[in-house]
Amino acid sequence: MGCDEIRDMMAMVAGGDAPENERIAVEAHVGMCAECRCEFEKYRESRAALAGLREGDAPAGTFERIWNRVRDEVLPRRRALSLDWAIRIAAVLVIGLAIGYALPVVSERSTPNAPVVDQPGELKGGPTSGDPARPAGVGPSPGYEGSIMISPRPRLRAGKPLRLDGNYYLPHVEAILSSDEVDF
Amino acid sequence: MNAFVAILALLAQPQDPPGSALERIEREVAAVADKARASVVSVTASFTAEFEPRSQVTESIKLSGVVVAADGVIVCDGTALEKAGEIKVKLPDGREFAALLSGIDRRTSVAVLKIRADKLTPAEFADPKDVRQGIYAIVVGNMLGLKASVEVGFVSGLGRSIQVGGRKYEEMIQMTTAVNAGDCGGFVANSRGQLIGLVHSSYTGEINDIESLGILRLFGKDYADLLPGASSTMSFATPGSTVKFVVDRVLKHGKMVRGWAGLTARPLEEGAREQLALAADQGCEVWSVDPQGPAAKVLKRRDVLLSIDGRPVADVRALRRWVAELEQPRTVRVVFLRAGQRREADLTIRTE
Repeated sequence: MGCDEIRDMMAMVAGGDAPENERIAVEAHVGMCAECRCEFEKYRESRAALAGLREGDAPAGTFERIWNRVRDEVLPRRRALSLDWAIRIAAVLVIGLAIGYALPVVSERSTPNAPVVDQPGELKGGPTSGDPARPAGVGPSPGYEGSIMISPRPRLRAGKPLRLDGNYYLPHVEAILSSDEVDF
Repeated sequence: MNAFVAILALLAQPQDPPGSALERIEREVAAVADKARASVVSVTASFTAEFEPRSQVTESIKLSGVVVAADGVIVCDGTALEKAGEIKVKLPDGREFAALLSGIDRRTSVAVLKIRADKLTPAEFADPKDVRQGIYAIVVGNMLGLKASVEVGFVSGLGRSIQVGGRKYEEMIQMTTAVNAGDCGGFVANSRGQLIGLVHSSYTGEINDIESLGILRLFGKDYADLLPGASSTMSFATPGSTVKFVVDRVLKHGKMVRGWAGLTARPLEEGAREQLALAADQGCEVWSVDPQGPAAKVLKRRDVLLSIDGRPVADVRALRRWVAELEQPRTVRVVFLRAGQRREADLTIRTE
């Protein structure tokens, strides 16, 4: 029996719903075929995960969150321009440091209105955000010691705003193989 | 009289264009870019994923493509378009067309598109014999959506095999040219502005070393680009001869058609030919056999192929080209050695 036929039976066998002869065929095959064994393990893991599910409606936004997590698997591999996670990490670190630094200063000075820092993500050098609308400008206020604000909607300081809003495609090479072996 | 002859001889000599050597190189590169740019298009593919019955999500990706025939035939990367619902092509003059996917060759990841347009400027294909290590590899593509950007590098290797998305791609051109997202499917030109390949992929050494990402590994490999020195300095292109082969087949048959035997072969190891008392143009080793392929009925791993259809077999690449060029199933006589014993059998090469 070929790999394709075996894989058709895997879901039922992993769930314990398959006839005995199919179970034996699948187990014999995965004993010899590493690729199918790997596939079969995934089925088993999925079944184990499904066993822990509860009944009821999923909370709002669940499907969007799932999509955001699996979209790179569903769509062809791409190189995302977006550095949103890196920016979020940087923002958290900077805010954390700033709060630690600013709290004593603020409590001493009790400043009512801290100035808004406008430090947009410029289109020069370094990695560029994929979406100009995303908050990108984070930094300390020049001339104002011990206070920081995040610019809510940074503006690009190019002559004309440049929209880099797509998913631009270029696959990564996973491995460089021996050139001696040729398939035909 | 002698002076007059000397002046005539001087005038007859070709005059170098003004400027330094670097300026002359700049002019040449700019001329190549101008020539290639006229054939470079932008391709947008849209995909829809459905979570029935609740919701659906539409995403799009953008890449580059190259005009190969004046009546609207365009080539670009096929893997990117495999699941596409809608494909649009934007020409250098700004006109946008819905594209029909004429065919995809999964083995080379070349897609052939057709748009309803004419009088386009097709790329001129380079002679495959002129594609050598060390020649210029000038890329014109839409990196990050920046229309017809130009990058300059060299061909640093030929005949490379790479793995991308779990698939093997052979006979690839290795380049030093820096390519970026969106360049895939872009025009790789030689110093005459002829097409030597289509941009396929890039290699970032650190991408597979997930541990080197430090804290960024928590967010996946895409963030490897944030590390200093992690930028790609090696890129790969699908050869122009392969692109032409796919285009010719797809336009002729309406889909990709090539011969397929279902085996992997490799040259004999050093000394094996002498040990088996074979002629210099005989022998290559069967490295593996696809159990679903036609060769599985005839050949086994470690067999030594001597001839196919009366042709001596030694150059595995030439053998592959010959098999691939078959347009219809064909039964051929195969002569091979198995455990030192000479055997013969019929092998039916399929088309796929």
